Amino acid sequence: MLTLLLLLYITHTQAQIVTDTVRIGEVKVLAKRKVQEAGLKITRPDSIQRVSMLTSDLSELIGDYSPVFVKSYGRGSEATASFRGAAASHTQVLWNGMNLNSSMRGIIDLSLLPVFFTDDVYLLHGGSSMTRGSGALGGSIHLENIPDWDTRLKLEALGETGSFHSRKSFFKVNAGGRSFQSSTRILYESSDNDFPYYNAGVLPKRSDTLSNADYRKEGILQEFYLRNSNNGISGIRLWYQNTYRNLPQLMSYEGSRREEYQSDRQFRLQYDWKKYSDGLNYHFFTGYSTSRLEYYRATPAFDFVNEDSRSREDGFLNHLRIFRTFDEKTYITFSVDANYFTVKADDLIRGSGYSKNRFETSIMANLHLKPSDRLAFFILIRSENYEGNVVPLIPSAGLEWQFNRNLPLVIRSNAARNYHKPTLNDLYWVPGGIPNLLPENGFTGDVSLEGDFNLGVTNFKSELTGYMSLIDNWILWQPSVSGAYYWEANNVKEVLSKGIEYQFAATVHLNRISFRSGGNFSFTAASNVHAVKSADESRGKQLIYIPKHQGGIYISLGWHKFLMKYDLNGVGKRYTTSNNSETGFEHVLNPYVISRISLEKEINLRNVSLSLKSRIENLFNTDYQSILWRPMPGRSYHLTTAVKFRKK
Amino acid sequence: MRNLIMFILIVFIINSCNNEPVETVYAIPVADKGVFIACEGNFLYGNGSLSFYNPEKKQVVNNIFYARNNSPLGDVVQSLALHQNQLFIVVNNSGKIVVADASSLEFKGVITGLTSPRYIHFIDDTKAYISDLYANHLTIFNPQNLEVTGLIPIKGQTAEQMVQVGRYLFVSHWSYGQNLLVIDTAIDSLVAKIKVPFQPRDLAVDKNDKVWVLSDGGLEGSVTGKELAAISRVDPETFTIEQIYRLEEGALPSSLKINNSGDTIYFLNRDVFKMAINSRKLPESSFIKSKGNLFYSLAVDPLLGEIYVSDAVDYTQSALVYRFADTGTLIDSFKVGINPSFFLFR
Repeated sequence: MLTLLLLLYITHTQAQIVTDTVRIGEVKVLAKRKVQEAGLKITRPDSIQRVSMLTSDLSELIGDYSPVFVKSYGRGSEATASFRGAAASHTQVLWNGMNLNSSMRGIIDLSLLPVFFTDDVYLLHGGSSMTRGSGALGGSIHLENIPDWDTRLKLEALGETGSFHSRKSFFKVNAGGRSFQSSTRILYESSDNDFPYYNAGVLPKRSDTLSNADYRKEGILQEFYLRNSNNGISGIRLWYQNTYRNLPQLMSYEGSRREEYQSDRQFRLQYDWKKYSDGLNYHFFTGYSTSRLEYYRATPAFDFVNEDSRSREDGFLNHLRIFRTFDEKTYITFSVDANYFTVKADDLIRGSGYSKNRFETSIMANLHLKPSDRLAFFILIRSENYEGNVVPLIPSAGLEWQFNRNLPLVIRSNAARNYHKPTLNDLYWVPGGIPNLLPENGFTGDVSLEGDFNLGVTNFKSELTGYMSLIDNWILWQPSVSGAYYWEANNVKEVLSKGIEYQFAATVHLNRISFRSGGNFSFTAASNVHAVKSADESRGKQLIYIPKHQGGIYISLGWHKFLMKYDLNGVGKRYTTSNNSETGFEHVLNPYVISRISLEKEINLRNVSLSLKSRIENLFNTDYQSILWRPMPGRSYHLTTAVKFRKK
Repeated sequence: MRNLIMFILIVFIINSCNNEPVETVYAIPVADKGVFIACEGNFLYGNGSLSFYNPEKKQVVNNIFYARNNSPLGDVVQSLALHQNQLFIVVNNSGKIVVADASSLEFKGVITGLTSPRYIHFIDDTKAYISDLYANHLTIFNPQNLEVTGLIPIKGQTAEQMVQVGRYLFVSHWSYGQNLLVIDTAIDSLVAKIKVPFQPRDLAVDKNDKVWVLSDGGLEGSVTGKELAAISRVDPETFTIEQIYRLEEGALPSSLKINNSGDTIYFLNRDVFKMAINSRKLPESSFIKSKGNLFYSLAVDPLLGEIYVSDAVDYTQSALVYRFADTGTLIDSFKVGINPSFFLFR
């Protein structure tokens, strides 16, 4: 597969060399890129991908349209992202610059982040993430909200109904003018999620229906923006979301009915101020983020409650960035962050828990230079402090070079050192938290070859990246080494990850037909290189739940406001044992390929546009498992209607 | 265009057909004598399994239940019990007990509707008890037809291990508990409780019919407090503690077992320890050193007195089992499933 991709790449490039040399001479690829992004490895799902996933959550958008692997427990259930073989906690998610990862658990559940609440989504891979923050040993995901100053009034309503008694409703109102904008977005989503599946986890095997898997999400995002004549923009954003999920049992469960649910409530508030000038520019935000998680498990027939835990996290996040651009060739940034987190976790059944707080600071200096239209580089240095621990200086550097003025090819490379602080659970959870855990310490580097070819009505963009990273002191929860029956956190692994990421996007505009295609592929070889004992067969073996191969491709055809889109996504074999045992009967999760097809028709009537979209998920009714012995839905049908009104 | 649509339709229809895989059944080489080993697997992975070891031939077969029945056992295979050549496999977090023929491993039935079953104790041919971590009762069932016939309320407490001396069954209340519960098996009722060191878990009966209790002392940081772990000897006739052996600070003992002659107890505390039942103090040094291995569970062959110790390696891969002579000499070692927790000798 990889060879095929390389061949395609080289063949295409060679064809292009001849054509371009003859036709246009000098091509500008790097010249088009903003100096502050030069040298960074960025993935940005294109607009058609984002719009087509507007009614879904971030796990589906990232999982389908980027080389990042998303581990999902099923529809509406927890989903986390793994960049380049790193852990879920090594992926940082930032909303308008504000970190959303749980200070308790380190991770963020992507299924709780609706695409509808974003205007732009992009990913920074590996060391490139250091420009926005630390701790993203794999990479970071950025969600942005952008005011639309050209709109006086915009109304948008979307409704979706689908299989398994699923309903989604979305509303958006933008109002204001060139100096003031208000944006309100509301979502409501619910599903019984009672899909049929073949249960091979019990005897006798039988057709079953998933039970206790229903969920409900509701949320509101309100934004206000004020623009003054001095190029200053102030913004206030408020985001409240409430999610209630019943949790299903494994396929093999045949016990008394369990009542098991998780409730997540989040509120985020951010004041954001930007000031642009010919000299120094400023970006400042202060934010508050609070989340409450409730987990409950009981066996009603036995009148027995065995889990009832609550946790509350509060974060106060502050960021100031001062930056200046000189002639579009030099960009200098200096930033300071000061964050304070408090956590309270209570186990109401056992009366245990912990309450802790943490103050963190970070300073960063960053210089991007673009001495010519064909060469750019950046250097960055960051220093962090948490709870009196000073993380050594963490550097990052990158280079971007269009090596031939006639070839639309750019070589990009960057390298970085990075740290990830232990989470508050890692340090203080009772039982099992270890207060003297070391931070995870990583080195990462990548090299990319990017091409941007224009051939008449065709545009073809393509990027191939090879990377390598080493993460030491990898923190893992496992049964206590002292032989106790509880689990505890430890610095146990040293993980070496090597791999390749490939992405392409192609567009062809022919008369009234527009053809688009895009795809990604990743090869990830991530293994523990710190297996000391002779009996330990995990050395050099692929980490569990990290597929070596993953990819996706889509094609879309637009004609007379009709849009047909076909998506194909595949995930390779995943191991569930650290020694990659394949001799057992249940140790390997088989590869799978699933398809989605959709057909959309849009009607425009002056200021109003209507659209009707039908979509089939898992078109070929593939039976697969994403997590061991958790069923996934077969074919499902969805119908979306949207009405938009816009007055400029 | 029409042909293209037809082609797409045909592909679609073909792909929509649900092809049941051909079921393959393997013959299981389970000898008359040997050791069944319950391998827990990982919590919420549903990858518990069953292994069988033939000590005579030094051969092990893994995943024997799956191989025979083409289906997994479930989540956390906790313990095993044998009755009239029927193997009862307690699958803790699947809330069930799977029953299989002990020779062929053929699936025979299942007891469902439990919540977190831990152990089984047979009273007679028609009555057996099931302990449950998340229920305030013991479940009574009939091994002949696998029907649940009743419950024994244990007054807000939960049940872990069970041993019987005469008509009385002694049950440890492990999770946040401090009592050894006494059940009169003639009337299926809780008749007494004996206060023992905090969190009693493992039980064993020696040659003098005394009940030995291993208490882990609870967790550091728990609101219920943490006691020093202890081993106690209980007189099953007077329902009183005869002796308490307190372990050192930081000790987390597990897997209390008695040897074949009933005169020596074994337990794990990182290493393997052994102590004569008439000893007045705990052993000062270990019997078998773990040498950096993660000793996970221990068992003693009731006929030969050989000691089996499992090493979980990293808890997420095939574990190792070491077989020692009663002198502590290594006889054999072999790989089994993930996290072996229970050995059943027959």
